[in-house]
Amino acid sequence: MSGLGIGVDLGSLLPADLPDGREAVAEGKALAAGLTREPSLFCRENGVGSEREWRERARAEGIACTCMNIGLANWPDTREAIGRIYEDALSRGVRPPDRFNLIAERRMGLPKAKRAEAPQETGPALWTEQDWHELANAAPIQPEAADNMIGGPGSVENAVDALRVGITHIGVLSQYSWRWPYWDDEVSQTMAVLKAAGLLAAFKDEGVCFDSYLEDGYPGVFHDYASYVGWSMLERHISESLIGAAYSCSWGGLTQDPVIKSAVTLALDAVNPDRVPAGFVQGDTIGNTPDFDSNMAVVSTDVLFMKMVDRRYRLGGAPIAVPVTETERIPSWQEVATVQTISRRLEEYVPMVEPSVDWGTIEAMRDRLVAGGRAFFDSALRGLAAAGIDTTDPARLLLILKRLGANRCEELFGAGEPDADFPRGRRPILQTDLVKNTMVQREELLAELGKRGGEEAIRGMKVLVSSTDVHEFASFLLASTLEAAGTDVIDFGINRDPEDIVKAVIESDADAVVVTTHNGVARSFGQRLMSELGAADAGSVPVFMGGVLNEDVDGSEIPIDVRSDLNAGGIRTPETIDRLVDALVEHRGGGVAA
Amino acid sequence: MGLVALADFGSTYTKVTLVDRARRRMVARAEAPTAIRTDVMEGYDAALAAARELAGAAAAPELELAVSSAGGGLRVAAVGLVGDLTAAAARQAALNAGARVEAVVSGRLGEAELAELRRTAPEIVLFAGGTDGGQRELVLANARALAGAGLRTHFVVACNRAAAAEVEGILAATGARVDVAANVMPRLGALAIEDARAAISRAFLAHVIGGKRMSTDARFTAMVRMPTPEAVLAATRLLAEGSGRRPGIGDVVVVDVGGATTDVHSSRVGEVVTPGIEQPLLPTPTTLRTVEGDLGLRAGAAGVLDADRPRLAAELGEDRAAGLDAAVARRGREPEWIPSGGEEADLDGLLATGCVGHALGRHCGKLLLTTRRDGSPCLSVDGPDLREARELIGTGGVFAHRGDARRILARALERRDPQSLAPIEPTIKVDADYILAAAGLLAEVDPELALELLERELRKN
Repeated sequence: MSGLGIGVDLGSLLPADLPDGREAVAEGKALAAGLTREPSLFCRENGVGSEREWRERARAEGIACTCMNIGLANWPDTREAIGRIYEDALSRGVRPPDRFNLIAERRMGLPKAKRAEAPQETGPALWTEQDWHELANAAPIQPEAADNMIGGPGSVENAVDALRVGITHIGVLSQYSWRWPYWDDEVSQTMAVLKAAGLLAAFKDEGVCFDSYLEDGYPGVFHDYASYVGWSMLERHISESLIGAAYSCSWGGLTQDPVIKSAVTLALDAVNPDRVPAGFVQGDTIGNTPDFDSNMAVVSTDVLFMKMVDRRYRLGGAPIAVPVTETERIPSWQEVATVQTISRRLEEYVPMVEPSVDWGTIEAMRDRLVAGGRAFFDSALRGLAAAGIDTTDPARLLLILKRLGANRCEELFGAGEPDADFPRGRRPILQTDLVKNTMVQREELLAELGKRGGEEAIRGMKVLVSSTDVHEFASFLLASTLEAAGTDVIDFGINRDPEDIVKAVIESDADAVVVTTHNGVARSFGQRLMSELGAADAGSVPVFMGGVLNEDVDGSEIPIDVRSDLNAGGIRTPETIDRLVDALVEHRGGGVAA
Repeated sequence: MGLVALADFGSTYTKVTLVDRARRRMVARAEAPTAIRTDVMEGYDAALAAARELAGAAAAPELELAVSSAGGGLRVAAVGLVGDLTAAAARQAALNAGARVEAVVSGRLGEAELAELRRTAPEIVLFAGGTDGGQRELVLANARALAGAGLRTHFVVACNRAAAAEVEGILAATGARVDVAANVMPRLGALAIEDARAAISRAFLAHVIGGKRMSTDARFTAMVRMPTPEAVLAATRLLAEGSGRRPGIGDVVVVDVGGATTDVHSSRVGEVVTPGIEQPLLPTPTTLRTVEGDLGLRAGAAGVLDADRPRLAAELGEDRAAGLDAAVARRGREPEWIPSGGEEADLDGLLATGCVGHALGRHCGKLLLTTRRDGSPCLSVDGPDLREARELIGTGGVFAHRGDARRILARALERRDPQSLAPIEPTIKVDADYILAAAGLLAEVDPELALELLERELRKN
């Protein structure tokens, strides 16, 4: 029976004064009346009223579309880069990209009145009407107002500005799970997103779409691709059924296996009843290494498969070719232009290769994912309703999902069969590359440790490993590598309180305690742990902490590093697992650990 | 195969159930006052004679087995290191062995803890502490403290395997009898109480039951196999799991309402941990007994009134509610009293509903929603999930002698909290003939027949 099959009141997680989200949507729709929109340069030159119209035409006529990501240090540089990329394509005799995602500076997510006082970060910010006009008219490449546009507290202003200049794919719904600097008011953030989405809904019939990039939200940490599909169904339900805005589902950056990627793309299309063209399919960002030459193989394979799927199934998609340098630094315009050229060239090979691919295998995978996705979606809506959430109110649905968190959502609603051998308690229907790559990372860490050999000094040392939060892989990597180093690991699991750790230390007589933390509680947790250990007469047990050692402390606007506080309190904070092993060796040997 | 006599030496009555193994059925049941002041076998012989007469049985039973809760039952103290880890595990092992847990002490044993043990004078001390290969120094210190405490008791040692032999030596050096069992918590997150439970049972038979001097008749110690509650728990487990050749029915809950306490026994089959819902630090055993020492129909009636006053008052109405305290006080003074009907009988029914409702609520887990220190929500359970229990069975005098037994149980179920993991739609049955204890006992020699009897004799009406 579902854990949420009884009357636990998840509504208690929501603020009692949370306004009705439907009212915010209605306010957004009402804004449309006073809004004048102009077509973008791309739409004018292609004779379409919206990007959706272009993509549907392209789908019907077999025209392959491409997309790029662009966001240099500032808007003027970005604007120039867009123009150069366009000209470069023409000079090479290839069709320029159809669209681009503006990777805007994070401050764009804040209300305009707050942007100037927030710290400047890297990326283009649009300060004036002229900046916005240029965005849609710098070159005949259709912009998407993407990162930091809709999702944060500045959503409404960004949506208005984007619509005015003829941008018709605006995102990013999944970024609603983000937090912006100096903004802790989730209620106003929720209302801003719903109002902006309501505004988009008012122009649905004119081709305006609400885009989401799944990996920017919870799917980016899911273990099962079926959960990806289910999450997209949830977002579509919120966007289309509850708000009325056409939902565009973009995804793809954290998947390396092109066969799996093809299956997931098809599954997402299968649960897209109105076949709203996805804004883009992101290229593989995890297959690249510092060897830029070898990354050419990654981009070529990735784009070839994305284009084959798009052509065969007439998806109307727009694949992004990832520049070979992107994992190391922001690519230059030349590097973006280069992979766009490769992308266009690959279109010649699509008809040669596509007929020979075993699409049956991919379709079978798709079907399993669709079934799993539907199960996730049904489980989520039913479970939340049974737990006291009004799932017809988009505000309540959005906020409860945010407050439950990604791990909990997948654990509760996942479609996989319960299986304690898997970190989230379910056997994935199709394991994500995130999980696979973590296993690879583990093997690499073990190999590195293997080179230094097992440490005799710490052989049999009882090390209790735990975590303050839900990051099971950090704890898993730690436990695996410490075991490989020769210690006797006592794996105490995740989500532990200091008091529980002390109880475990007493019963197990642990020789050392190692805690990973990523949820902003490092200092208070560490202090409490040391205090409880002292009270239990176990104060001589050394404590090590690692992960993200920060916390919101009094007077700080953002979480600050609390390493020095932890060190002053007697907690050691080695920066790597290797250094942790060194510190354990030194402790055992009676030396003072770093 | 002939007759088997299954006896239950209760504190007030001794009940005898006669089972014909050849015909595979219960043929008679009778009871007689437990002759606790003279020789309990007098009560047994009287009950047996009555049962044989009812059955028309000419032959004597070829096998006589018994359970006992007479003479105060089995009194055990649990000792561990951490209150909600090894001490809790030890406590549960004792409860599952059918004991009254007189004391639970934990930490480094000091004079306060030792004084508590001396005051309660347990018949058995279950000594736990440390995971296997874990804490040793504190465990040995506690053993030395116990050895010097002047207790006259039997020890069952179920601690860190690496320290168990040394603990045994320390305690045995005082002249006490010591048995060693497997660690009740061999590693963090693992509960293993079955071995300790069995050791307590063996110690009860070998050293405790005879020491109560309830009979000079050698038949008594030969017959008694376990404390009565252990038999009820065994029957609960048999119903749930089956006998090997005969399938069980799935999760089962039994509520035993007595004069002083209300016991709940449950057995869960094939449990699946729901992802996303965190489990307690110490797992809940699949077969579980809890005892609510403040809920009963006579000595425990005051506890029911404390827990249920507003509801009782609402049910009775203003006039009758005014007399509640006096009615409850009478019950405390006169544990043998049985109302002849009318308002007092009605009140017994309401008190029984309160006993069942509260005891079930405490026994079954709850789904909890809390907030972590980082503000994130935490969904967790704190006990067994019995929502899918197939049967809820009421046992005890109130269910054996009343016509509204099923209604009492049904009304108790209606009171479940929304977060409770108590049974949702079980079939309600009544143990009108005390067959649970008898079947749990019979299962020692013939589990299949025991299960057949349970399936046949537990009543839906």
